[in-house]
Amino acid sequence: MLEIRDVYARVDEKEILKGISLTINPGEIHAIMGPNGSGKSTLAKVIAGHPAFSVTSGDIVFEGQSILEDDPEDRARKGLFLAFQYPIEVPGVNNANFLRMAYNAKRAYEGKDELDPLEFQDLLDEKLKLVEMDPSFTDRAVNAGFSGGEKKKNEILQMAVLEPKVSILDEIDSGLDIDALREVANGVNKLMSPEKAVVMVTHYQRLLNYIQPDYVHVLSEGRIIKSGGKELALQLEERGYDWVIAQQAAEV
Amino acid sequence: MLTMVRTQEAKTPFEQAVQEQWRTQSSVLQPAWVASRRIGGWTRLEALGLPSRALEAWRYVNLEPVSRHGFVPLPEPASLDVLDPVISALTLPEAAAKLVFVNGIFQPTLSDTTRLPEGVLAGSLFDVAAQLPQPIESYFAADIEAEADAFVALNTALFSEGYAVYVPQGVKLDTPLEVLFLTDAQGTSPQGAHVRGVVIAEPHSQVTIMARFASAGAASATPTLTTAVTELVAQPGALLNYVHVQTEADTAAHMAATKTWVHGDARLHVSTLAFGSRFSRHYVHSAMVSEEACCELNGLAILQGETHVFDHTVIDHQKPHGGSQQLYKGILAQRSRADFDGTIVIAPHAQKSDASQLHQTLLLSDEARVLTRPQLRIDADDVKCAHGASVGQLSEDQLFYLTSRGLPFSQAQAVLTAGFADEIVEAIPCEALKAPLIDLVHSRLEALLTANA
Repeated sequence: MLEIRDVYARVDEKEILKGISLTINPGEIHAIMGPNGSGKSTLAKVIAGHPAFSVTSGDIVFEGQSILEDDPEDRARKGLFLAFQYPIEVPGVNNANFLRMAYNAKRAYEGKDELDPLEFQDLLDEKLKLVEMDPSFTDRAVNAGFSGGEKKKNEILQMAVLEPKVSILDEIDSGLDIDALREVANGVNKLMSPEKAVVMVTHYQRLLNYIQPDYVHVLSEGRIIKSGGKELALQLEERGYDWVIAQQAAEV
Repeated sequence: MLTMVRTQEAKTPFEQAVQEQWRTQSSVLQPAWVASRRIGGWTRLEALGLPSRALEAWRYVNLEPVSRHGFVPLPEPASLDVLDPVISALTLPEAAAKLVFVNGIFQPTLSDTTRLPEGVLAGSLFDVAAQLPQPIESYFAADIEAEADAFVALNTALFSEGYAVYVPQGVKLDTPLEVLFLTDAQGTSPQGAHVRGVVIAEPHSQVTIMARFASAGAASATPTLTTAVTELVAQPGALLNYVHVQTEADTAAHMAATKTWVHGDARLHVSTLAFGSRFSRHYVHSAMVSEEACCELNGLAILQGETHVFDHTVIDHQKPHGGSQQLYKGILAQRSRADFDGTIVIAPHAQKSDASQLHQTLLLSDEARVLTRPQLRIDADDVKCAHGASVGQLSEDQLFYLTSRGLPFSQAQAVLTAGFADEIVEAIPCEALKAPLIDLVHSRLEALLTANA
């Protein structure tokens, strides 16, 4: 469904991704782990089309078509979603209106009629229940004054409304206490289905206790140096990243 | 012989026309109570001269859109029927009263004051003053001898007509009173009008006035001038809410001054929405004359093309325990420009005054310019004063966030600029005005973003 083919990417003059390849099929949950500065967040942003990063070689193919030339909004409407590590505060913009605009942008892309505020409210109520979120969040400005946990939940609410095919969750666990983590993870699990895929970027094994990955990849210095099943995450938790990095260096 | 401004230099076409208008009208000054104020205005204008760049507040202001034209009085409107649809589009059906002026002249047939509660008077200045000489006559241009602003003096000498609103003690109006000043220029020579407003809110009354300044033919290339002086008196415990909406044509010059007197426990709101005009100035002077007077001055400028807005405020805290808040915002595209000059004065005995001032600008083009000059003059030692300014562009992070959710880039821009602008409309304490003004703001933003794309 999503294929990353030997992607090199840079920000300003600095090369951060140095040949990443990854294939994500429907129904799969992938975890991307790695030390700080390995390029995990860059990979997430490059897939979403962040304008600060340029892909210098390779390709990103979504459902058989290259999306490299697509603007972020086109990628979103095709079914890609990035949950931000640091969700952006947008004061002055009502959360419910924002969700409706995003939802209607996708409806318009699919050639469907837009929902008016009342129709959308019904849908929103249902999604709020699904992700166990207090309806009062939708009356506030987008993320403005939200706590860390509230911001992450708001990302999951957006994911629930937009029903993306592939969701990339960039450190969705950072800054969450254990209860908030469980709630956010529950939301993701409920939204997962055999037609969809999830890519989680994380530092810690902890998240993977709540959302079980099918594959774990270790990123270091802009490359995937090891891939494996969920047991790899446990090994990493036990032995740290140095072990994998040393093993990879020995192979080269 | 008139000695107005720079006698040794050649007079500008503007000055020549102003003198000519004074000469022709000064033989027919009436009624008497107005005549004395007119003469006072002319005397002050002669003493002050038109503002030059030697004055601190005007140092960076290019007055040429005003000074290079000899504006003659706007003619009688050709046909009021033609203006009917224009006027309906510019006024709210649910207003408590509607006062319409075309080319500086009151139009009773286009106005409606039949729904006003008993005791409330609203109409042409001369009519209301005839019905209720006091307090109108004692407030109207009462301090003209000490006037510091040349355009207020000029307007007092030359105004054609105006409106007056009187709200008796304890009467609270929920719906706004609406005043429309429409400019319908004929031909291509420069023409203008000088208009007035007086609002007296008696103790514990509550009233909202929306004055709207618009051009009938937005595509007209005729240079026009409107000067407008509005006097607002909020007596003890009153809530006086004044909204000044300026949507004149790109060829217009708009010189407005709002002078206010805020008494104890009274609350005054002045909101300025400036969306048009080649050059537009709104000078707001707030005299906080008793203890615990509060005022809030807000402004929103949405500018494109070569338009230039100058918000000029003076808040004079004369007594203790007063509060004032100012929030002025600008969204500037193309080659537009916004100036903000705001002075807060706190008198020696005006202890415990609490004043804040903020000017925020969103620049949407490299050629747009903003100048912000906060000034504090504090002679008391136990006060709270804050001022600040910010100038920025739309945030890349916010744009990416919104587009990553599927919003088209243009919609993301529109949402962010609207989010920035709406705060000013949301702060207006009149529910009935919010929806129509939000619509107006959003349609202006849409036009601006389209032009700027």
